Amino acid sequence: MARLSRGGRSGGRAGNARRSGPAIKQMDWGIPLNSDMPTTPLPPEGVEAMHDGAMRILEEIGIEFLNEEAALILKKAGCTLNDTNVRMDREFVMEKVALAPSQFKITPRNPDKEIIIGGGHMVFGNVSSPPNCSDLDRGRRPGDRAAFQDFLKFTQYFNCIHFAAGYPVEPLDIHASVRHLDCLYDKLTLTDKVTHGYCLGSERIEDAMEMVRIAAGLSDEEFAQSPRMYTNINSSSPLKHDWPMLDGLMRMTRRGQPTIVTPFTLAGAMAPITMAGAVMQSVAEALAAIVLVQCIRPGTPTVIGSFTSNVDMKTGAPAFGTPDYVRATQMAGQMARFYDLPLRSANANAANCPDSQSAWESMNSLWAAVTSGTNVVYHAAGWLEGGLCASYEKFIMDCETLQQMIAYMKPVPCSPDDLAFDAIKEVGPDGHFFGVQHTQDRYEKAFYNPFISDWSNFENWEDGGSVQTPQRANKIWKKILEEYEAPTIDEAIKEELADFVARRKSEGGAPTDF
Amino acid sequence: MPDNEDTIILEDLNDGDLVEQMHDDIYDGLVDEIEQGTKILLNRGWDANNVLTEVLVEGMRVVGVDFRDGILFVPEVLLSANAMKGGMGLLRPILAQSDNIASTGKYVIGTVKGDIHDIGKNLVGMMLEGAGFEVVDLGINNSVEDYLHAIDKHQPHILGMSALLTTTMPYMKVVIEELDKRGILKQLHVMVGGAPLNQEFADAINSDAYGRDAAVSVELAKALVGKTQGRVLEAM
Repeated sequence: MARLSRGGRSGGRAGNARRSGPAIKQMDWGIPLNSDMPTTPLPPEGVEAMHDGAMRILEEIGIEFLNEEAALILKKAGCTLNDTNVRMDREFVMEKVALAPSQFKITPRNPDKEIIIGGGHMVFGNVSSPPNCSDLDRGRRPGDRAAFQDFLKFTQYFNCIHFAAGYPVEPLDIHASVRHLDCLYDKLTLTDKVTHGYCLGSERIEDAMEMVRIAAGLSDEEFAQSPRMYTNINSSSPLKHDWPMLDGLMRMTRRGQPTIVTPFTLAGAMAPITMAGAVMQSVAEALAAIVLVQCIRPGTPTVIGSFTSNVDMKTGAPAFGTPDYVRATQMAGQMARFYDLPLRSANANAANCPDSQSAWESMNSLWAAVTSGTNVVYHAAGWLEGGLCASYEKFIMDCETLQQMIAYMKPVPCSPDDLAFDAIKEVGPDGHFFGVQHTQDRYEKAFYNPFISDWSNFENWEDGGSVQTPQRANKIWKKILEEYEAPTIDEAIKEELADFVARRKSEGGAPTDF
Repeated sequence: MPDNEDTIILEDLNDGDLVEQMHDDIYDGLVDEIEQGTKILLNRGWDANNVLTEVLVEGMRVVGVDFRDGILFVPEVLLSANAMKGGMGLLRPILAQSDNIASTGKYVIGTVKGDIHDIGKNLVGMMLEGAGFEVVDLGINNSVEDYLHAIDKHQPHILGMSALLTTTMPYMKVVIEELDKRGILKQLHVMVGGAPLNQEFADAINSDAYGRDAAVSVELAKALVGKTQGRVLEAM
C-alpha cells in the first residue's frame, strides 16, 4: 500500500484553525453561474400566445402612466396618449425592448464587488423594505436604525449576498424626510457592495445617485458612463405606473443607471386568477416601463421583474413560495428569454416566524429562481411575513440555503480522476474509502459543508441541548456582529459623504407634510 | 345545490320562512331573490328599517362570521354583499324619507396623500358595504383637504385611512391632528389600516382603531358605530 499523506506538518492540534475561527466558514466571493437548462412550463406556442396577449394589452387596453412627463415622452415617440392611458403597438415595443442589453455589469465603490446581471449569472440581495424586524431575544418590533445597521453588516459579511438591495428594514426612528440620507450613508460606509436607491420622490433618488457617485470618487461624467447602482420600481397593478416610480426611473435612466421593473401582480387580486393571465399582465406592465427607458436613453440596462404570486382567496392575503408562484416565475423566465432581458425574482415566504413553513416556502422560491433562470434574486435573505418583517435568524438560515444553491450551481466535473476507477479498484469489495489517497486529496472540499444544518445523531443532538435551527442561527448572528469589520473607505470620501448628508438635512431632505 | 331549491316560490312562504330563506339567499349571493324578497316584505307592510336590520344586516352578519372564520372565499362574500346591496337599493329611498338610519353607518375611506396603493382599502370598503355600511370611497392620494371636504359633505360616522408606505403612513397623524384641531374628532371615529401599520402606531397617532385585515376592520367599525349610537342616546 502506498504511503498516505495530507501534505506535511501543520502544527498539530494548536495549528488546526478549525478549532477556533470565524462564526461560519464562508464561501469565496464570486458570481454564481447557473448552467442548468431552465424549466419551461409553457410550450413554444404558449410563449407566443402570452406574447401576443401582452402586446394586445399594450395595444388595445393600454397602461396608465400617472406621470405627465413620462406620458408625453411616449406620445412623442409615437404612442397613443389618452389622458393618462398610453397605448403602444407591438412593432414599436419590440424595437425598443431590443435596445436593452441582455447582460451588463454594475460596479460599486469597491470594484472587486462588481456584479454581472444577465446571461446565466445569478446574484442575491438582502431582504428589502419591511417595516418590522424580529429576533428570538427581542421579538418583533418596528424597524430602527440599529437593526438597519445590523442587517447591513450581515449583507456585507456574507459572500453569498452580492448586492445591498433596498433597506433591509425601514429605520422608522428616522424621520421620513431625511431617512434616505442616513440610510445611504450607512449603506455606503458599512458595505462596499452594489447599492440601490428608492424611487420615492425626486429628492430621494437624486440624493442616492449623488451619494453613490461621491462614495465611488467619480465625476458626474464618470458616474453616467456605466452602471454604478440600480433602482427597482413596482407597477401599481393592475395596469398602472405611478408618479414617483416613473420620476425615479427617468432620473436614473438619464444618468445611465439601470432599473428593474417589477409589477406586483397578485393573481386573484390585482391580476387574473389564472397564473398564465397574471404573468401576461405582468409582462405587459413591465415592458411598458422598459420601453420608456429605451425612449429616453437607448441601451440603458433594464431588468424585467417577476413578483407574480397567488393570494389566499379566503382573506386576500398574499402567499409566496407556493406551487403557483414557482410556475409563475418559470413562465416569467420563459418570457424574459423571449425578450432577451435579464430576470429578477425573489426569495419570499408568508410565514410569521423562522419555522418549517418559512423554510419550505423560501426553498420553493429559490428553486423557482434557479429553474426559471432568474438573474437577480431580491429579498434573498431575511424575509418573513410576506415582506413585513426582517428576521435576524431567517437571514442566517437563508444564507445557508443560498450557499447551498451556489454549491449546487458549481459545475459537476466528470474527468477520469472524478470517475475514480483506480480508487474503486484499490479499495475493492472489502475496504472503505475514508483513508484512500483519492479521498485524502479531496475530503475537505469535496462536499458543501453547511454551517447551520446539524448532522449529528439524535443522542449527540440531545446531549448538546436539543438546539433547533432558529436557536443555532441566533448564536451565529451574534458572533457575526462581533466579527464584522467595516470595509475600508477613504477618510476624505467619508467626510464628503457626511458633509453631503448634513447639507441636505439642513435643506430639509425630501420635504414631507409631517 | 338540490334541484328543489330552485323551485321555492318566495311569495308562498310565510314571513318567518321567507326571512330564513332570504338569509340563505344572502349567504348564497342571490341578488334577484333578495330584491324579490325585499319587495314582498315591503308589500306585506314590513317597516323598511326592520327589513334592513332583521333580514339584510342579519344575513350579512352570518356571512361575516364565516368570512372571519375562513369558511367563505372573498368572491363569495362579494356576491353576498352584492345581493345585500340589491335589497338596500330598494330600501334606501324609503329610509331616506323617514328618520330611520339608512344603513349600519356611513364610512368615508381613502388612501392617504402620496400613496396610490388601494387593493387592501378596496377590499375593506367592499366588506363594509357588505356589512350594511354606506361607503364613500375617496380613492387614492388624499390630502387633509380632501378628507375634510368629504367629512363635511357626507357626515360619516367613521373615517378610514389607508397607507402601504412607511413614508406616507405618518400623514395619517397630520389628518388626525387637523380633525382634532377643528373639533371634528368629537363626532367622528377614525380607523387606520395598511400593511406597515400596527396597533402601537394607531395608538400613537390617536386613532380609534387599527384594522389589521378586512374581517377585523368590519367588526371594529360595527363596534365603533355602536359606540356612536350609544353616544347619541346619552346626549339625548
